[in-house]
Amino acid sequence: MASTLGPLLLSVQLAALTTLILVVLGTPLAWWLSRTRSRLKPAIQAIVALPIVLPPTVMGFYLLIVLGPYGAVGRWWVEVTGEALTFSFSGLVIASCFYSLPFAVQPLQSAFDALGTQEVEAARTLGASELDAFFTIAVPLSVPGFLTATVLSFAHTLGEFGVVLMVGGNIPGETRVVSIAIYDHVESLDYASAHQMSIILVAFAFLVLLSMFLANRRLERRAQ
Amino acid sequence: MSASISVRYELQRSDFSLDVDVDIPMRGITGVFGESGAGKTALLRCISGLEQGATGRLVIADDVWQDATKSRPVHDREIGYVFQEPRLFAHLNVRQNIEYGQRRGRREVSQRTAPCRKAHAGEFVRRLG
Repeated sequence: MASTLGPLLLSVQLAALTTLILVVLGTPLAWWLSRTRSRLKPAIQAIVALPIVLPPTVMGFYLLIVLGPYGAVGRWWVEVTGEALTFSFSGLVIASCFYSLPFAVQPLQSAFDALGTQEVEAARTLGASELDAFFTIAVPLSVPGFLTATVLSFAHTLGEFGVVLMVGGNIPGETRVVSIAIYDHVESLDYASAHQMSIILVAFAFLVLLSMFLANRRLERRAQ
Repeated sequence: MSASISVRYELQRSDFSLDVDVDIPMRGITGVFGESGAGKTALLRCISGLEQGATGRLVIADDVWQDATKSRPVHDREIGYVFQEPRLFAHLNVRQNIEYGQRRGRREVSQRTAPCRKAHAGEFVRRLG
């Protein structure tokens, strides 16, 4: 059972940490994308959307090069922490942030676009600073967007396989996440373990998505 | 000479340009009228600081709020703005909507009148039922 729970817990840890980082960093990015009239906007949007289109192996390949001990980021990381970034949990978190970026930014940007400028402007004329108006008006009115961004980032990171395989490998307790473990079990014809993990993942994913849609419905009803 | 509001603004948009230079007395009520699309709303948005592309100079009773080098942020301009359309905060109830501006009221004024205004908001909401 420990060998089943280990990879599952690692996946959940990875997904939770990635989601937290993505919501914190993705919110200002989404807000900027929603408000800016900059000519750079389409280019930034295209970069943010790239992980949806690219095969995970392509992203994993480039991340492996950049995060590796001879890559720009990887070398710096080794100098600062003394450890390699590739084939480590920290490296997986960074890779996952890139991999799941559009799933956090796009729902947030849609929510901010739908919000428009009216309420925030009204708050500003009532004496609220930009930051104050953002947190007391824009964020509460965009809760469904935050909910979607959180759940999609979490679920997408949980289902990550290709990028992990390229950057993380298969080290128990460090990078052996559930999708890798299932692949490993199937390869070694241990179908019983593969079944066990897969069914837990199916049930978990279903419950997470179900609770998101239930919560969204409640929010919609309350708004009416 | 009595105090006045000196407004000078230029605003360029693709389909529209605003060019205003006017002194408004700081007493009574001043009306602005013009055809639809003449720039009445744009002028008010410039004065309140909401129109970010606008350049010009705004002086309220010798106090320079905006010129080429600086622009007082929207929340520091002591202006009450009633928008054309309702802009209620859907996530707040009636009392919270009213109190939103009161809580953020200008410091000197709000400290003096806060308790009494708070009571008024409550009374107002009660009367509405």
